[in-house]
Amino acid sequence: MSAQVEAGAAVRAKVVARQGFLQVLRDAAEIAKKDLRVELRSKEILLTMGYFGFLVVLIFSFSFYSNDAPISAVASGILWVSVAFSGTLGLGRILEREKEGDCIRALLLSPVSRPAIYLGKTFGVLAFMVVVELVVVPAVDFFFNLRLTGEQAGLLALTLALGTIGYSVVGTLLAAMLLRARAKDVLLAIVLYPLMLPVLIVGVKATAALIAPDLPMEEFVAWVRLLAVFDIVFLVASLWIFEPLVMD
Amino acid sequence: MAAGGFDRAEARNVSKIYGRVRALHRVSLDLTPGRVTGLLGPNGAGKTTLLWLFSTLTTPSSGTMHFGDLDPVRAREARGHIGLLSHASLTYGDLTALENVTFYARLYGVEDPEGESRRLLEEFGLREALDRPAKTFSRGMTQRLGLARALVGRPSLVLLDEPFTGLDRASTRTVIQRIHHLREQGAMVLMISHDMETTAELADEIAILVRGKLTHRHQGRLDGDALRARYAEVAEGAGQAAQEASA
Repeated sequence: MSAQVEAGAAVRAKVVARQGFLQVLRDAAEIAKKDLRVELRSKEILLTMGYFGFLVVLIFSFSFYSNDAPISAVASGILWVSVAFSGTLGLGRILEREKEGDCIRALLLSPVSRPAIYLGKTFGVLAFMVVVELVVVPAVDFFFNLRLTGEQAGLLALTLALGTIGYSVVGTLLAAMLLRARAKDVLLAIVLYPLMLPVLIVGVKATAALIAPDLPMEEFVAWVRLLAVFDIVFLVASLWIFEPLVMD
Repeated sequence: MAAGGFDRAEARNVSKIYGRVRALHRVSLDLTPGRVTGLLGPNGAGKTTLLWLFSTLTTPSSGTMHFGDLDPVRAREARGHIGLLSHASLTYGDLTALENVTFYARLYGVEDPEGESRRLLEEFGLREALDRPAKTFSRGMTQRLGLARALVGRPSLVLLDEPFTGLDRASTRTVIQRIHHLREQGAMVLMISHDMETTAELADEIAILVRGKLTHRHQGRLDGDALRARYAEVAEGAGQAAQEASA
């Protein structure tokens, strides 16, 4: 066997030996780290998402008024609409970056497993959405006079985390699938929202429960459990079908 | 095949059809270690399509791709052993040259990823530009960066699509030396180029594609003039024959 083949094989032998779950996570983290580094340089996705999310909340806060005060009952819906809409902006762009310079081909050619590539992109989307939520949640709290307690804030963080995971998992898969489509931004919204409807509805219901005057804990727990189930189902299905969708 | 490396790559009777366009028609080509295969042909002949098939990033409409002892249906497992330089840079514009190559080195499990990346980039004359974002690079610099990225995983099979595009004379010499080195190291190299001089200097064999068909194969070296004459005879002759047939 030639020196080049042996040298390359030796390098990959280490990778093959580490092809366990931890290695998948490590490779995914490497890809997500790269996405964050690129974003820190350009700042285009976070600024766009954050700005758009804030504007949505601001506009709605002036639309739902009763007795000179914003209606807090609609806050949960507006929060999730804001997160979902701004998330769509980020989803399209983060995958688009892999198309610029055709980097997706280099990623697919690497010895990194396909689930690692998928998870890496998903982690990146997740991180961006969390940053946007750090802007949107205080904005909703302020404009709709929610005055969340510490307990409510913690439970809201849990709800948003589960909802955002589901959104990122499905959104990344669809954005990857549409990477070579012509009208991908339009198509992404058309395909994503119907699929995300269960997550968004359950997220709205869980949030509405936790900002209700007397927190109905049993109802809240039921919604949150449902979100967790969605996340698991979507994650397993997405890991399974990622490679066939992005090939050729 | 040890630890995933392979020492043979072969296209066997492959065809590729995109919609109503037949890009390749029953092409067979085998690549062996320590040899550079020059793939020539006019624009639209199917050269890049054949290169993509060898990269496993696209699959043949019919026929099979063989990589070492891998079952053709598992050809995708050959990835990670293939270095690809294509028309696009396959690098991130907002990352520096060093960050780009180091990122891929990490994915390939290279020991000391940053050190190896730095060494490769310096070899390709990018010492002064290590910390510059790739988007500020000229065409030639981007090409050299793409080469460093393609080679960082020490691939068994190196696929080069027009590797000399945009390169100045000194950079062209560096790339030529590197390809010689790859051959000495036993890599399989498939190179598309319209530059007859460099192809003649590097190629151990020549394959000429015309209208999706492998119309000529020459084992052994040819000098520039002989290669030009052979190409004119084969490519232009085939084109003329096709025109006559369609008339």
